[in-house]
Amino acid sequence: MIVLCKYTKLGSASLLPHLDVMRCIMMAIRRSGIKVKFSEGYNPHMQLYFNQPLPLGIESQCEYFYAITDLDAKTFIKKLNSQMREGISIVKAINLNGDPKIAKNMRFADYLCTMRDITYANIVDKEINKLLKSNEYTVTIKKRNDETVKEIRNMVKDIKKLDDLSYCFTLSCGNENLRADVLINEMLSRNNVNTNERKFNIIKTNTYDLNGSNIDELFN
Amino acid sequence: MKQRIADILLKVDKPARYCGGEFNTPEMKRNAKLNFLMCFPDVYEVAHSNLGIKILYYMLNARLDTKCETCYAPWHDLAEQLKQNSIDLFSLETQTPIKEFDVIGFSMQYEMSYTNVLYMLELGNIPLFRNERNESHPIIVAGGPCVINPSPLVDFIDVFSIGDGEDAINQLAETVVYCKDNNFSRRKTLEEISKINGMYVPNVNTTARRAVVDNLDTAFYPTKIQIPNVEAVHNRAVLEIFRGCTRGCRFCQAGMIYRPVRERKVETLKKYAKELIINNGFEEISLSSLSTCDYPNLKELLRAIKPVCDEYNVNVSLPSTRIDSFESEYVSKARLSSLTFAPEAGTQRMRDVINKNVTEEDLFRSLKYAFERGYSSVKLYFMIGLPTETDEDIDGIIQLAKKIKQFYKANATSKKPLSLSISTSTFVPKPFTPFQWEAQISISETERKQFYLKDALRPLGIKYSYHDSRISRIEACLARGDEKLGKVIYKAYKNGCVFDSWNDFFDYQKWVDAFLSENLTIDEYASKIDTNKTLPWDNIEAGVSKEFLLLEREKAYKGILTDDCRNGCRNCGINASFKSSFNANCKGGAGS
Repeated sequence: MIVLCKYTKLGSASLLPHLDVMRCIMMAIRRSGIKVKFSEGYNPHMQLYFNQPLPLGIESQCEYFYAITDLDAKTFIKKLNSQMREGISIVKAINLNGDPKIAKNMRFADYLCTMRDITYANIVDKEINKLLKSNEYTVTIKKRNDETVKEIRNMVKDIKKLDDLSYCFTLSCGNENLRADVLINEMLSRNNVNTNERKFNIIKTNTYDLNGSNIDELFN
Repeated sequence: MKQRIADILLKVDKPARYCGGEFNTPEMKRNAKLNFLMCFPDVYEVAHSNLGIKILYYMLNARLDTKCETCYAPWHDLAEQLKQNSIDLFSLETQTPIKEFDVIGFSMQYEMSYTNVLYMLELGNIPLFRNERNESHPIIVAGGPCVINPSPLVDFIDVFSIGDGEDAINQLAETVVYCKDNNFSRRKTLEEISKINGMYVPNVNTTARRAVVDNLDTAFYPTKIQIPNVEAVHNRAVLEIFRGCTRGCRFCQAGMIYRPVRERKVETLKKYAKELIINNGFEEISLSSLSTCDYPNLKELLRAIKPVCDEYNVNVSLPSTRIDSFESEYVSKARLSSLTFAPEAGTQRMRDVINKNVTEEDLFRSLKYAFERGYSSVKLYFMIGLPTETDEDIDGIIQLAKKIKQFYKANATSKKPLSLSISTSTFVPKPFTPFQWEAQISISETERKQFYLKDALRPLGIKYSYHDSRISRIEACLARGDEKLGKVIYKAYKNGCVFDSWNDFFDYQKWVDAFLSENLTIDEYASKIDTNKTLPWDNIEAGVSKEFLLLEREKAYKGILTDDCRNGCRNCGINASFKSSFNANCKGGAGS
């Protein structure tokens, strides 16, 4: 049997790289005394399965992992949450019999983006209009010594304005991934805003499969 | 986290080094009377592998009147961001600027981190020189093995905490709280601190005596440890089973300056081991000391902690395994792959000179045991440039390696080919050792020996690595340096020297320039010292007497061994100058 968990990555925890989040959860499981399955062979390690990494600096309310254990989900949550570092906590858990293939099925995610200043929100408003009306939109992705231009219009599923400063971006995630921070920075830099300084905060709030069903439905 | 800091962290590599929030962080008191900052002058991953600062951090936070936070050397990218944005270096727990603390303690574990102290102070906007600080600045304290010779750092450090920190730093906290309560001036506070055993306060006292915890069993030991946000270099729980070493290797500073050996009781260690495993969640627990297999109750301890290790899937590691005391039956079964030994020298003659009381027979006995159990990888550590060393001793390393290869063929049960790695470091003469007066071999001579080994070992399929001879050269200067080196360290720092222990950043020429600018030369600091000469560290009473060190030096030249002092007192000086500790811990003492 497995326990599928939905967990948060908030506050300072958003700066932890994926491998260290995995290590952090493994150590928490070990501290909690929960028995989970280990791999067999030369160098046994805890068998945990995670969804795709979240970019550094993006908070999330909807990350997932599962462990193979006989423990009931309710006890699992209770024991493990007492051992978690700040910002990482399990909000839902359920016992399932098979592999929910979350990483494979995850296709879209909602990102709650809050601009820090109305001026920037106005620029983003303008760019969102352009993007939604067009069939094409490119972003420039910068990596250390490399820059690539990528067509991403198909990766933007929806954008809703929530209030003067906030938006919900629904973007591709998983194997075909569009980072919300990259998209907003593109919108700002097209309007000559210096994006070296952060102008917004982002929280990933929901994830969906190919059919548009919220991954959380697995917990019902 | 403060937004401004959070934003700059997004621009640097590994921001998790700086964001705090580690599991097992104690509650930070809001109204503490003493705000103490524990600093380590190297990066987060290295700092989190140090036991000393963890002991003191948790000990200080356990005090009702004290809050202790941490700060480690930021990487170049964060330093750049701090400067660009005019943000002072901050503590990790509450992001408080470091200059707002009452006391800042630096742990000095290796000489090549000296410039990083200046780097951190400057990033914190604190004057580098002691005499430029005023009532508004923190008191800068330095502890750790390096400050057994405080001279090179006296220009920068207000207080040196020499020896064990458990009692001394507790008393320092007590004293600073008292001084704050009474509105004492900085000068008066420093005078009060100078009265504490182990504290050397430049310009207040002229001598100091090493602080020694007589009973380690009752000394503070933390079993809840901050879990680093990014993996530490040594990612494991550490249980210090004893402090000090009885072997008396003549090059080894730790073996001399942590005397006498003080053991924790096996019952105490069983309790701590279980707590460390349950509270922290590491995959591995290390039973740490300078010579772990010398612990008389090691088997009992290993047997006792086995059930909890098995229950939590935790492996045990035994560092500093000597080749004559290999206890593989209890060490992790999961990775039957690599085994590390430190014969230190290639010939028996040389091993006798340095009092490394092991023979080739001991080594091969351990190797036989290991190879028969499936080990296929061996690492050997040696030193080159030891006093009296000749090319014959270097050849001895090569011969030993050849013999091990043949021995593996005859005894291996593993089907894998033998992986043999040899690593050499250059001998660095250190204060308070019998070799403290010796010269270090020149860079060219070191390189000649390194290339000789490289040419001989690599064709045999043996991996050979060696320490940068130029780093060892500067290390030798700083280790035995006098007060004149303060200006050299300052110049080197101003020339751009930071993270000197990192090969990628070490710049020998900048150090040469710094020495030259003070009309000093590196060679004079690394050369032989006359035994009649006053040494820069003569004002420190470490416990081992000069007579003992001279006698050991003489015996070294004659190749005469000194037996392990677990088998009887060798009159090193501790028996005379640290009587209570001697009586409680040593053979021949009242407690034995």
